[in-house]
Amino acid sequence: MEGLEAFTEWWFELLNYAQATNDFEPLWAVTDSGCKTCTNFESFVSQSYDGGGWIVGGDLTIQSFDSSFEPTVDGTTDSYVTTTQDALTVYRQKNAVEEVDAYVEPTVGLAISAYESGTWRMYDYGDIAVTND
Amino acid sequence: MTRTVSLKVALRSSFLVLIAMMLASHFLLFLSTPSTAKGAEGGFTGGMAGSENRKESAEPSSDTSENAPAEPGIPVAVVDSQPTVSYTYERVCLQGLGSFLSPADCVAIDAACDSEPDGSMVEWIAIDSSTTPPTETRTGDRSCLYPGSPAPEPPNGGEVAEPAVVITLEDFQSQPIIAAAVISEPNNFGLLGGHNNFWADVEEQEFAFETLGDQVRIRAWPVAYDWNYGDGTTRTTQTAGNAVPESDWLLVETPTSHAYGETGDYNLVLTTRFNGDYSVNGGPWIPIAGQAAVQSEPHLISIWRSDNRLVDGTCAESPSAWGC
Repeated sequence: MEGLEAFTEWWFELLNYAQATNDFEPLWAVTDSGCKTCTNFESFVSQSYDGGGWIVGGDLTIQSFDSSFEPTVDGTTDSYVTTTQDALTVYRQKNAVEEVDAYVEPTVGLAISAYESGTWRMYDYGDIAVTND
Repeated sequence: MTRTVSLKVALRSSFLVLIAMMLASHFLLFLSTPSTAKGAEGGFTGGMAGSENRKESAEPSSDTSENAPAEPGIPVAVVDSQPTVSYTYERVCLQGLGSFLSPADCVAIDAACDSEPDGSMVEWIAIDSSTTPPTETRTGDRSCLYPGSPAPEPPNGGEVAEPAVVITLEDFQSQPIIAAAVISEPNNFGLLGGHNNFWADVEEQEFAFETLGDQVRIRAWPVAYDWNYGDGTTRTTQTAGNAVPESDWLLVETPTSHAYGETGDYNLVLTTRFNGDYSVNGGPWIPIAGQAAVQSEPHLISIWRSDNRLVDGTCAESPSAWGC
């Protein structure tokens, strides 16, 4: 199960790559289309790149990875992943520059992954959902 | 899977829906993780959504397709009107009990249960009683547990696995939990303005008894420390504190040390708060909502003032000299 941690690190690398290049193909290749955080992220990034804009910075860094490595009833495995995000700058068309501060306070999120056909797949990453809060 | 695919199609077909969803997720994010940084959103530019996309949900008893291949030749999926799956929950954070989660993550996770005081996050466990012994599997569904509020409802409209005995918060609080021993360095005196180090010597405790033929175990472990230093200063820590080397006494500030502003005798009172779980007949550990607060014996500390002067000679040479 150590592979899960390595996969999670790799997944965040792909996320950082997508942000730096607007190329989401490698990320979606290992991610389920139902990942809403990923859809939000892709919208933000692709809008930033629209019309010749680009993004500098904003890399996400894993601060901690914790998992019981026990699969859930549907075969997915949950991990608690704490991240921080570097400051980023969006250079939009017409010289408009938008700066977003770094997210230095670590944020804990839940990663839902599954091992399928010899490889890991990310189903979701986001805020920890509770049924009654 | 069907649900999530249709969601994405809907997103693509309607730009307005997309905007609305993004605004909604931003709003939710703002509510849950207020950030001082302008424009920064919890860990993700673009907005972090709730993580709940899973494979098609499957009841553990009927899940023979992917995760539990059926053995050939043995008939499976016998329709049974009696549900064989029931649910219990366990704490996500077993702070101080050898949890795989770091204490910092534990605080952040339980902080998500903030609609009432003292919330704890729990995860639902499916118990399949069609096997011997019953199989326990995580569901990935989580709820918040609040003291004094009704227990959360299990996922998928499922049934709660009722233990043969239910331990209430009052039951838990009436256990003879041994209070922490307060230790101060050095001993029971300290110096004005110095970092007088205090720490709590306390351990996880377990209580076992039998009631009407059922074996009950209760475990209690310290999670928070309320320090009343006796001079009007109070403080709550998640750490019990620890001993420091003698060379650091009075000099090094610790998370539990205190500097007094006046000389005198003070009674330090420590209250240790314990979380509790219970297990019936060897079953899973069930969290008890709420805490037991156990007060330690008042700890007397005398704060002295120190004076320094330059002197000449030893006390043996001049017994009446200053400081002899």
